Amino acid sequence: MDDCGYVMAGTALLLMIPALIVTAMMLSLSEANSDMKTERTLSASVEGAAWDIRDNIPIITREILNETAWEVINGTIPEGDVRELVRGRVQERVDRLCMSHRNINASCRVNSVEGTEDPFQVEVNSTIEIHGGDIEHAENISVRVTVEGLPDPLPFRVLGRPEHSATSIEYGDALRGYLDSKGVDGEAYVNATGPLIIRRCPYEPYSCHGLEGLHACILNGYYHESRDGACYLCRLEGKTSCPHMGLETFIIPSVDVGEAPVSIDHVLFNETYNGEALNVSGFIIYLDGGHRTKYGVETP
Amino acid sequence: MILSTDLLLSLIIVAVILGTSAELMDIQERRLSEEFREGHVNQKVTAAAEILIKSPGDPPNWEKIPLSACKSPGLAVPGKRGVISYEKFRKLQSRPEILGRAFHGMKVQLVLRPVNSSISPLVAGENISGDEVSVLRRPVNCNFLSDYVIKLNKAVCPRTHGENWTCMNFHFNSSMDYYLISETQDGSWVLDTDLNRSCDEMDLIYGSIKLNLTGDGVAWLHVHGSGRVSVVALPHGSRDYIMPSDYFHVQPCIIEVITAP
Repeated sequence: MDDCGYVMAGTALLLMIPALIVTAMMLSLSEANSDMKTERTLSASVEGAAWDIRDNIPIITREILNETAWEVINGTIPEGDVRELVRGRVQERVDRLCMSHRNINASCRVNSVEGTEDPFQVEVNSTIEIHGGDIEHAENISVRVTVEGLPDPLPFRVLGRPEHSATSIEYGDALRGYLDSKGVDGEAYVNATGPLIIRRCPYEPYSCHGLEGLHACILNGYYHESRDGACYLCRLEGKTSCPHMGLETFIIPSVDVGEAPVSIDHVLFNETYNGEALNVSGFIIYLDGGHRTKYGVETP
Repeated sequence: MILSTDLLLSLIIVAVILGTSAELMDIQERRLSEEFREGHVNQKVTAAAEILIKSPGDPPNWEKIPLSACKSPGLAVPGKRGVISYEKFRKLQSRPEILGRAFHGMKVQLVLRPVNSSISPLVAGENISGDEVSVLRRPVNCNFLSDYVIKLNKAVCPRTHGENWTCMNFHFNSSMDYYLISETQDGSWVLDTDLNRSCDEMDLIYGSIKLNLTGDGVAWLHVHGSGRVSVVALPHGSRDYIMPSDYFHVQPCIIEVITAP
């Protein structure tokens, strides 16, 4: 080989440099593109998981409240703090939901399940944390779940297991026996009936009820806001009154005896006092002055 | 013999190869920069469009306040996944200049095409034509006027009816006008309040009819037959009651974001 061979070999090597540069440029661009695509997919997964958890917390909580209420009604509820029991059960179901998002690391801590100033709603506070690659998402969420449509567990906590249909409770002799045991004459409440399912009364303000409104209320078993009544979570615990904003409903006696314990659930289950009979389109209920004013019916 | 014919020939070949590879590099570089620019623009448009569709805007109630207070518009209904607000879209239709706050320095047109063909597409923004138009399509749900539909609670009625009556009640107040919207002409209805028991049984008609409700209270709607009815509460003076009943449901739609530099 003469000197020309070295020149040619050297030149050929130089010629390869631009080709190498072009290849490197193309490779780095396609790598950047694929990185961006992966990041976008992960970001969509993180966003999807956050929405999934946000959307499902109220559904899960309502299911757990319903299951727990039926356990109270059937007498199978375990002993202990019901709020903590509900929180733990919601946490367990949310954990299962988080596990179903396999490509990312999602977790959700249910901090509390508590009542609100609106007794028809329960509030769930939780913290969501999601990690996917370099993407991190954390948020505190607070959702409200309605208790409308859920069964009222309180009468079953107080009286054991009275008979019930799909919508109402037939107290039979249970309420009379309970009142008698407190030293109150419960004669009027033999075969009393009351609502099973919580439904919000549309007659607001309550003073607009009048006899017409009360009739609709009794027929439909509506519940009303009450400072003296127990909230839904306390009802699950069997408390007949609580410091939170609570609920009250009518329990309809079967006999007119002129004067008898007031036909409001928290009055019958807690500190009982008497009221005068009121005829509401054929239904007899006993109301004191305070409740007559509340529901817009005249004091006799 | 350094300048031999072989060497000259090889130099010519080297020069040709160098020239060709320089030209190739140049072409490649131009292609890459073009691709990069297009990608960058597309990415910017996609990001802006995604933010417009997925966020409620800043502040979230920007459509209800003076426009000067709106930092950036967004169409999403807060807390509802994949649902965009009809009211916000209508605001963009009437004041298309707000779109500039979401797409800086670009021409934008939004088209909302409901899958239900009985609702005509809605367009916001200027008409766009030209070579560098890009179109982004996303499936969404639009609430239209469904938020004005009030919940009717089926209830045991204090009145006595014959068979095939459904009774519902709802709370009304004096700040709204109430309309009964029927999707059928089959059946009849009676409306009463506790103060005004009515016996006027009226036939259902297709479309909307204003309910005679004044003051505050609870109204009972008694419907005879299997007709689907709903009640909507609209602010005084609103002419939305003339809209077909499909507008009072959430409707699946395709939103098109058409942009040009």
